[in-house]
Parts: sequence; C-alpha cells; structure tokens
Amino acid sequence: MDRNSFKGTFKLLGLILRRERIKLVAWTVGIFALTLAVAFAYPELFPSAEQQAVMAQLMENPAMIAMFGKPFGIETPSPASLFAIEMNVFMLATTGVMSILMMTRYTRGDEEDGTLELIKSFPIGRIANIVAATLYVILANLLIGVLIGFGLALFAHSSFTWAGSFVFGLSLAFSGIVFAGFAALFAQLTENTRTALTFSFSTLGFFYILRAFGDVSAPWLSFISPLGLLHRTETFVNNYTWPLWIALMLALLLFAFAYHLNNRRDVGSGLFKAKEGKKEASKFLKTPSGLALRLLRTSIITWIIVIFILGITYGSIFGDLTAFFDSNQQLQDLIPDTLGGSLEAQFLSTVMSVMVVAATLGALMILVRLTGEERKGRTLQLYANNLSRARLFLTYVFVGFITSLVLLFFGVLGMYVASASVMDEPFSFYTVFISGFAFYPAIFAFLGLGALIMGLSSTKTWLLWLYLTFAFILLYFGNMLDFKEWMLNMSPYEYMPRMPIEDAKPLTAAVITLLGIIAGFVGFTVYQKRDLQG
Amino acid sequence: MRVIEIKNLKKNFGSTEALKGIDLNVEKGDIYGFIGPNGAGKTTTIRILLGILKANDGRARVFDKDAWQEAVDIHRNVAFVPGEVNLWPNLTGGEVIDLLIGLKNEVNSEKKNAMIERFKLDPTKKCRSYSRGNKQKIALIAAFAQDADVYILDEPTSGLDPLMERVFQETVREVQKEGKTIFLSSHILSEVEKLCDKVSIIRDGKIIESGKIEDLRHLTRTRVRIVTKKPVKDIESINGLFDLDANHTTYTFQVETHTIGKILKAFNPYGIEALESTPPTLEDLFMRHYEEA
Repeated sequence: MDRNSFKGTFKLLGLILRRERIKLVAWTVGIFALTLAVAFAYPELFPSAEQQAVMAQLMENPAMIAMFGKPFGIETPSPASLFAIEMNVFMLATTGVMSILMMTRYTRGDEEDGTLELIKSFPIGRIANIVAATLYVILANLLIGVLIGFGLALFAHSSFTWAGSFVFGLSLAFSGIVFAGFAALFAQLTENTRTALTFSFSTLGFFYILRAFGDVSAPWLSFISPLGLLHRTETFVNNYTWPLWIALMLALLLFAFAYHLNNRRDVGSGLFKAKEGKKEASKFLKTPSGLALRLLRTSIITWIIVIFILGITYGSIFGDLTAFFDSNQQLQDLIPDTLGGSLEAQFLSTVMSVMVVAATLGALMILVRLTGEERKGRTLQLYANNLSRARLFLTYVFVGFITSLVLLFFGVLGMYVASASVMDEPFSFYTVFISGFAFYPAIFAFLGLGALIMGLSSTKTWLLWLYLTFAFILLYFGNMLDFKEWMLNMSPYEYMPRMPIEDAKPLTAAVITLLGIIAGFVGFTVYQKRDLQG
Repeated sequence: MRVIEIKNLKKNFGSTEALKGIDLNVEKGDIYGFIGPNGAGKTTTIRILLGILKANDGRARVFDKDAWQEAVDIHRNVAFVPGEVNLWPNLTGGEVIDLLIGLKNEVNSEKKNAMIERFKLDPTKKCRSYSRGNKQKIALIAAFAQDADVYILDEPTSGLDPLMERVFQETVREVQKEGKTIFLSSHILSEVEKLCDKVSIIRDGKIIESGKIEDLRHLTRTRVRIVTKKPVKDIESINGLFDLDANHTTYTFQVETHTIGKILKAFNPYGIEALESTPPTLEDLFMRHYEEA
C-alpha cells in the first residue's frame, strides 16, 4: 500500500453520495424520527417516579433482558434511562443492519455488477473504492449519531442530558461502523453479494444472541458482542465512553484486515473459491419447483438454523424467569392473576412474537426472490421455454408458504426444547406450539401481501419491508409503549390472540387468512397480465 | 405456412413509443433477418412475440396463436436465445442447459453433447465464472438441443468469436434444412447477409424496408468502373448514371441495378477495355437508411 493506493478516494466518495443520496436521507430520517418519537413518548408514559420504578422492575425480568438488554440505573430510573434500556440494543442493531447493507452494496455489490471493473480502468487507487465506501458509511453513521445527540438533548425531556444524548447517539454510530467493518471483511472473503450479506447478517444475529445469553446469565459474553459492549455505555446513567473507544479499535482492525485482503486479491474473486460443478442437471432440477428449491436451498436451511437457535435462546430464559418471579413478590402482586395461567405463560406470547416476526421475514424473503430473478433477467428464458407465469408464481408462493410453516415450527421447537430443559414445571409442547401458531394467520396475511406486491411490480418489494418493520415495532414495543389504536389496527399481528392466556379467535383468524388469500389471488392474477422486466 | 405474423403492432413505455405499428411475416423454413440499430425496437418486438410484454395495439401471432394469450402453448415449439444472457451464478453451465431443455422436453443427451462439443463449452463451471461469449454459447446450446419448430434469436452472436460465429452459421443452416424456421435479430450485417433469405429493417419503431435480400439489393445501386478505348462522347446524355466521375477514359459511377444492361449498351460503341462492378451490400442499404432522419 502506498499513496497511490488511495488515489481517487474522494471522487469515488462523491459518486457514492450522489448515487445514494435518497437512501441516505431515508435511513437518517427514519432512524432519527423513530428514536425521537419514542423519546417523546417516555415522559408521558411514566410521568411519576412510582410508575418509573415499576417499569424498571419489569425490565429486570430475564425475558425482557434477553430481548432488550441489561437494564441500567433501575434503582433511580428516569424517563431517559428507561428509554435507553428499551431502545439502546434495538437501535444498535438497526444501525448495524443499515451499515451492512450500505457497505456490501458498495464493495461486493459493485464488484458483482461489474461497475467496479469500469471504475478500476480509470486512474483510481487499488483500495480507493473500499476506502470511499468506508468513509461513506462512517459519515452516514456519524451524521445519524450527532443528529440524535442534538435531537434528544434539545427537544426531549430534561432527563435527556447532553452527555447522555451524545453517548447514546454515538453508540449507535459506532455500532454501525463496527458492523460495516464486518461487512467489509466478508465482502472480501465471499464471491457474491448474497453470501456476503448472509455472513454479515449471521454475524449480527450471532452477536445479538450472544448478548442475550450474556445479559441473562454470563455477563462476560456480552462484552464479546459489540452490541452488548456498546450497551455498556450505560447511557443516561453513567455515560461511559470507554466502550466507544474499544468499538472504534475493533472497527479499525476489521477495516485494516479488509483493506489488506482487498489489496492483494483479484477483482471479482473471493477467498472462498468456487468448486468445479456438475456436468449435468439432476432430474429434480429440471422442474420449476426443483429449480426454485435449488436456488433457495441455502437460504431456507440458513433460516431454519437461525430461527432454531433463536428459539433455543429465548426458550432458555424461562428458567431464569421462574427464579425471578419467585424472588420478586411485589411483581407477582402487580400482574393480575385473573388472566389465568402461570406468570411464565404470560410471557410466552411476548417472547414468541420474536419467533413470529423472524418466520415472517424469512418466508417473505424466500417468496420475493421471484422478483429478484425477474430483475436480474433470468425469468425470460424460463418463460420462453414453455413454462407458464402462473406455474412459476405459484411455485414461489408455495415454497414461501411451506417455508413459513417450517420456520415457525422450528422456532417453536427450539423454544420448547430449551424451556423444557430449564423449567421446573415445563410447558407442554402443545402450549408452546399453540402460542406460536396462534400468530400464523398474520404470517399468512403477510405472504398474501408479498404475493400481491410481487404481482404488481418487480421493484416495489421495499414497501413490504417498510410495512413489516412497522408491524414489528408495534409488536416488539407494544407491551411498553402506548400506541394509538388506529396504528395497532394496521398490523395483522395485533389481531392475533396471545395464547395460552387469551382464547383462540377462530373468526378473526379466518378473516385475516381470507384477506391473505384475496391479496395473494389478486397478485397472482395481475402477475399474469403485466409486462415483465426480463 | 405462416409461422410469425405481426400486424400494426404498437407498444408504448409510458410516453415513449417503442413500436409505432410494425408489420412482419415469417414463413415456414425462412431464415428471417430482423435488423436495425440499437434501441430501434428489435428486443421489444421479440419480447412481445414471447408474451413477456403486452402489446398496446395490433396483432402478434406465432403458429396462428396469439402471442400473449397462448404464450405457453406457443413456447412448446419455440426455442429462444436472449440478447443478454443472464444465468444463475450458482448453477453450472451443464445444469443450466439441462434445466432449460428439460422445461420443454426430455433431454436428448446425444444431441446436447454434440452441441456442447461443437461450441466447445466446458459445462462444469459455475455460471458466474463464464465470460459473456460462453454464456451466449450456453443459451445457444440449450436452444439448438431442443426440439423446436421456430428459433427466435436476439443478437445471438454479439459475444462470439469468429470461429464460433461460423459454427453458429453452420448450425442455423442445418436447422433450416430440417424445415425449421429461424427469426434472427442482429445489427451485424455480414451475418444477416450470409444467412438470411429475407430481412426487415427496423428503425425508430417502424419497419422501413422489408423483403428478400435479392429484392432489397435491387433497391440499391451497383458501383461500376469502366475503361474504354475511346472517350465517350456526350456522356451526360446517358440516363441513369449517378455520382459520375470521368477521368480520361476511366469512368466510375453508380447505376440502378435494373438499368445496367441499357447503360452497357451505351458504352459498347466506345470499346470496353475493362469492367468492374461491385455488388451492393446490405451495408450500403443500411447506411442509406441510417443517414436519413
């Protein structure tokens, strides 16, 4: 590496900023608005010190810790510290997701599309591209961090101090930068965008789970996870800055390693080499469903593993949950017994909702791969070969449908296995099963919506992700935040009964399922009538 | 028998008119050339024929079936090679060939392997590592190893080397001998000239010329160079000479092909010592149309 290696970095940065300006604004506004909206809600939700104390105690239970992270400052809670308990880990993961997407797009993504090759034919340094991508992601994260710092300190409740606000904002920024480092590294190791993204997101998921384990039962594990580490800033309580510096060092190491690999490898190659393949297709591959399954195979298996581990992680907190309730008489009094079922049962549905959203996300990502195939111009040749649109569309819908069932089942299974091994009086498999599958009509409705959007256009799937994010936020924070009725009415999840403590609602389930079928059918019909992209 | 019939076909993308009413007929056994510059509407026409795009107006029929309504039925007997070949990066070339053929009929291994041999493809590599030319070969092998009655080829040779281009031309001729029909879009004139019996020239979404290659040649002028013993008197009075250049007893000019006999008669009395004529190329025709507008 010499001076010339960096030549053109700023020109490329300018290019990225121009290409990405709309997405950058959307991410910044989205994250900023979400953070501030929740920050504004807190003082109203918990105006008195008493209410704040109750909330703080609720957050101390293992189920909550696994989902939201270790609560700090529970002895003297303030709206700001409660806000940090609930939002910090979630937002750390959010900037992580953003940064992984950005970094992968401008490294491996550009390489795969072949635009990098063109750029490299100009007098541009060997690692200028990856450095420009890094600068871009760092700028984006700092922009978000600083905006949030100012936003919270200036506009939120008085408990949002200047120091706390900035440490909060910067912890998000540094989380983003660290995960951009992982993404940069995996972009060098793998040969295509999809694999690079899979590795990066798996890493994020792994660190999230590691943090959950660590926060509940083995604190040192949390320090290994960047999410757990940055959460140790103890925002609005102690405002430690040392986690930020450690995160920065980690990011620098990751980037340095990624640059080193980038500098010595060929354009278009990865460290994991492609093997020589088969000369002929198997009988199975020659059918549309065989092709779809072959293309989706790796994704489906990865999702099954992810959701099973997620289930085990969340299932394993039930042991701690029992101990927690036993030791906390005050809380036992607080939660009304009239709902029926044990205290654990009341949390089952809450914890299960994570499994439900993961299963929805996984199944939808499988389903809408058909639009990806279309965008990449690969359906053209299939349709020219005597394959009807109806058949291929239904193939993907069917695979998506089966995937949703399988994913939810494995989430339930993981949760059952883990909870049964840690609880004194474990749930029956049926209880865990029914708690998860009570949500299934909502997942089905999402699949219908996915089919509808896919039928309308190959480029509008972002609408689906936006809607799912919205529904996820309602579900995830629903226990603590007071969402408006009309907002809750917009998410299919909210209509689903919280079993086992609530009764089944067959009629609602039927209506939601029917809506899904209608949406899917409309999508199926319009897909056969629209122009295809390729 | 008419294999492809296009009548007054129109297609708009938003406010852009991609096709402004084109007509075109392909008979059984034709090798039909569809030529025009980039962005003229060749690929749009082909995609309508395949039922991927829906026409705004007009008729597009293949085997007397509606290209949009009866797409799947039509495709039973159609083999297609796209202009830009996009393949699944994690499947091998061999797998893709089997897959594409297998969607239509049983894979005839003998025929397939002969094609792989002929186009000199290594089918064991993953598609992401093939070059553009090799991807094109995969699409061509898959198409020619199918049992189809009509082959729709969208700029099939744009990534091939000259050797492979020749292999392609041989293959097309063989297929024609079996009584199959070939519809070939291209902007490479020499290829179309070598292969095709009939052509249509498309430009800006309109067909500007259509017919047999020989007929189209009649439309254009032959360049002639004559050296006579004696200077030709009153050369200006001979009708039908264009771009005349007289240099002592050497005359170069262009003539309409059908007047060439008459003109030679007029030169005869002066004693023709040498005569060269350059036949019209499609290139001339093409350029003439390009230069207009």
